[in-house]
Amino acid sequence: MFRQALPLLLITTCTSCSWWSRFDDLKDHPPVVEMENPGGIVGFGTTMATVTTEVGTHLLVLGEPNVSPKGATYRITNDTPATTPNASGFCPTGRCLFGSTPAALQTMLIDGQPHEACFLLGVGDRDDTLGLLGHCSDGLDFVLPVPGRDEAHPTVKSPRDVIAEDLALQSLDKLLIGDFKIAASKDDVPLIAAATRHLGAAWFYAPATTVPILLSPVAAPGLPLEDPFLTFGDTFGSEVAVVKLSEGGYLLAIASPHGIGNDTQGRVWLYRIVEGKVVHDGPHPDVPAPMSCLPGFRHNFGIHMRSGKLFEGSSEQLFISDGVTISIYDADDLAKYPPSVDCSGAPLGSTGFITGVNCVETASVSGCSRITNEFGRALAIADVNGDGSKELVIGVPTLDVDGTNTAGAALVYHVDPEGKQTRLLETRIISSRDSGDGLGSSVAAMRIGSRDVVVAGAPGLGSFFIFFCSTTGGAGHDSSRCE
Amino acid sequence: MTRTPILPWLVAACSVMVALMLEPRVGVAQTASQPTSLDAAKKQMERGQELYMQQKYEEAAAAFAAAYTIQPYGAFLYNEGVCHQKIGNNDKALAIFRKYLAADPGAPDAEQVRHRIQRLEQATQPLDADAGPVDADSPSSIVEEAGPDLMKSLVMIESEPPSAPVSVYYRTVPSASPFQYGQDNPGWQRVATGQTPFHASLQLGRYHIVLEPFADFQKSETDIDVAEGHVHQFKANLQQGEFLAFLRVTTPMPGARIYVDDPPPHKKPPWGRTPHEGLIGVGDHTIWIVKNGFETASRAFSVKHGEEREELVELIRGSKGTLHISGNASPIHVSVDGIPVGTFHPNSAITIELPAGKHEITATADDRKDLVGQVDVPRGQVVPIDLVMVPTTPRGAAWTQAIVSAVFVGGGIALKVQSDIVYDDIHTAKTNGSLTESDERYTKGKIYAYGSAACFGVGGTLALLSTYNFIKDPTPSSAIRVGVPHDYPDSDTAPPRLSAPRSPAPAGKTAPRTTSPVAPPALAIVPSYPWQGVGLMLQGRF
Repeated sequence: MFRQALPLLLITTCTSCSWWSRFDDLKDHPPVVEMENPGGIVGFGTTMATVTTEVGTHLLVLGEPNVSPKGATYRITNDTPATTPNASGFCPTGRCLFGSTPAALQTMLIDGQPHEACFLLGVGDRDDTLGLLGHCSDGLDFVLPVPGRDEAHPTVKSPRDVIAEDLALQSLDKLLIGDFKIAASKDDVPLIAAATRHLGAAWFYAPATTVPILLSPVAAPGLPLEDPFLTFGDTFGSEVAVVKLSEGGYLLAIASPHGIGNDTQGRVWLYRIVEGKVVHDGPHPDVPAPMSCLPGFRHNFGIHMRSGKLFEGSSEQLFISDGVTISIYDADDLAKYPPSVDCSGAPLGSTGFITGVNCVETASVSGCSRITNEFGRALAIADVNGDGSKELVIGVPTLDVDGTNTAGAALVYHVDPEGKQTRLLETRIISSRDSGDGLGSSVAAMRIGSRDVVVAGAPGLGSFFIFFCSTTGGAGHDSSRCE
Repeated sequence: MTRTPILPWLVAACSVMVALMLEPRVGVAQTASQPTSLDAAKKQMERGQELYMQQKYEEAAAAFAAAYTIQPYGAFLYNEGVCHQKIGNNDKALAIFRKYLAADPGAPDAEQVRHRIQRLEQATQPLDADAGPVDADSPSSIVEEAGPDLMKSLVMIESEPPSAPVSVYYRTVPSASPFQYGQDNPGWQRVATGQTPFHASLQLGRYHIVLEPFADFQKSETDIDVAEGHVHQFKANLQQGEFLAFLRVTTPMPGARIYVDDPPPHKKPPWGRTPHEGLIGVGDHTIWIVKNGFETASRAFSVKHGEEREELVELIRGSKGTLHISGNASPIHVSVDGIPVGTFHPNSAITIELPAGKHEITATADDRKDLVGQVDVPRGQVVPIDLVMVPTTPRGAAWTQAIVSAVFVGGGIALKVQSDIVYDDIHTAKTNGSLTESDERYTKGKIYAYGSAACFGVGGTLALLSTYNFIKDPTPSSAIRVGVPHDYPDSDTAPPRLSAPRSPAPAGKTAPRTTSPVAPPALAIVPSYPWQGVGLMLQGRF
């Protein structure tokens, strides 16, 4: 009897072993790697930026804007990344306000010395200098001074005053008034732009320079400063983006998403900069003025703006979101054919508009109808499937995943510029999702091998995730983590 | 048939009064035959009497002693004692009289002899030594009145056939009327009774001897005058009824009932049971020999007056036998050769007549193992069988284990399914590229897997245990215990054919035993399987 029962018992035991051991097999090299909070960073993963160099991809991850003056950088070169950051902190004085739009700088010339893989984290005080705070992969911390008060108009507050006020309010644990936005071009020596809606102020740093050139508010000599809120809109400076033009120069976009007065349609003002100068003057000579205005015809147009090269060709694209829909514009076309001078009535779409992208629900992902203003805040361009063409990655932290509220997801779109069609390729979610994770609050792309991997932050969870695999990945493009 | 009385005394072989004077030590060698020794004793008796009359008491005592040596009759001792008393040898006389009483305590004159012994003992007292010889002439009874020094006579009575009852009456009043059998007969006193052959020591006088009627023999009687110191020998050939013959019926198997001239159905009590003999009337007769379990045999014959006929009747056993079925359970449904024959209850054994030969017995009872067996029914005999219905092995534990096993296996399957679902989910997530290391489903799936494995393990173990408990059967099969075949009980009724189950015995009455009456006592330790558990039970039958 027992001899007969023994094989059965052994089979049962072995089978049982496989029942649980197979979970261990699954757990080996999961396709998604969680990068946990290095410690003490509130809302870790809210924002991020990447710089790709020859040695790998440098990733900056920050916490909640204007709350946690800490961040972490990672250097990721393969599919088995170290989960500990290369560097963290970046604010030894504690007088820092890391913003919601850190800018990635391929190379930063400081005192004539190039520094690779740098990031602009936000604003603050470093070495008694108020300005944009930067950090390079070589450990260099630097500050870009922001415009101070105009000597001709000493009573008018400047961006430097706003930083000072914010730092003071931060120490008093009061509501901040700043919300500085920073953007940079994607070229090796980038043009840096910044803005704050508090003053309706916008300025930029020409490539290889650290001197801010004020775009607003400006005034002709002897004249009072023009009020940007009256000219450009109540929220001028709410968002900024820089696009490099194929024929040279840059197109600098500054958004006023809430309109002017009773006219609540959002606007995006476009400045063309060539060789460090604004090529369009206003009514007064040598007074910089936008080359054109891109009317949105809807509220919040321009609430989020990003730039990048999504399509083949030399031209970059400008991504303008109204919080629900992302409109993709060709930067060269916008430069060649300015849509409007004063946003007073030229039809939208006639110039530079390629297509629009909306939130798409799937069997697992829902909640697009609840999106109000976050769609487009997190945006990255990546070749997730290794086919050589780029896909648009949009993080939507408020989406529900498999019934889990606000678990968040990153949506990967294929955008066809010819047919002007968009198609959702895949969604990036995490299996360990939980309510309020907010995955997709930030997204970025990292080059690993022959393809890009998607990185998405989940500040609700306090970590970010690297998605190494793609369901659309072709043979030879997947990493060892992919089945 | 009427029987006519014939002569009461066919042969009075001898009414011999023989007085023999024998030498004291004569007759030692008379061993060839009883008549020879008796004759010798008689001679010694008569010689002693003669010497006594010649007052040669010492020689007379020796002669009587010699007679006693030849034939140990009490009369010889008594006479010897009297002789010793005559010559004053009281001690010797006392010893002789005591021996006389010891040899025949119920002698007719036992009381007189005890009285004589008392007087002799008084005479031999030292204080009374001067009182002289004891006066022996103070009789208090009839015998003593005849004189203490009279010699007694030996009366011997025989009959053909022997064993006839004998009564001896003594005429106490010389003028009494002759003895009338069946009357009061005043002046006569019965002094001795017995069966032939009969002997008694009697004193001088008139006696009436009656051989009482017995069996088919008529009474016989006669008067005798007993002389002093003689041996009186009588023999009576008793006469039976007139026109009778003698019949003896025997069978190899004793106890068969004999019916004479009473054809079936027999209305009279049987004449007797074999072996049996007796007188029957002359003429033609038919006898039926009946014994349970045997074919009835009959014989027809004719007998003549005085004929002795012997019939040896061979009995042939019947072609059927009887099963007496009992059992140890209640009720037991019994079938023989596939045909239901009844239900056994403790107070209602089944008795069934069957053709001799092998028969298949099938029995079923609640909670007992079915029984199938074969019994060889003998010809003309009763074979008791005891259906030993062994309780079925309880399967409660096996069922419980099976159910629990099924529950565990079901739980294992459910958990395995859940584990598979979780695994599939995780695998899908991994395929989709959304799987993270911190996914809680790893633990969840593992717990399901552990749970399912544990359930399968426990369920499988219980299933094996349940299977084993379903299969195992430690108790023996139900069986038939066959008793020793025996003949039908002797009774005047026919053998039982089929006893239907009877209703239970009324309260207060003892129920008959349920086991076979021939089953030997047994004591055994058997496994017991009550629902509470398993144990051993001491079981005995006595």
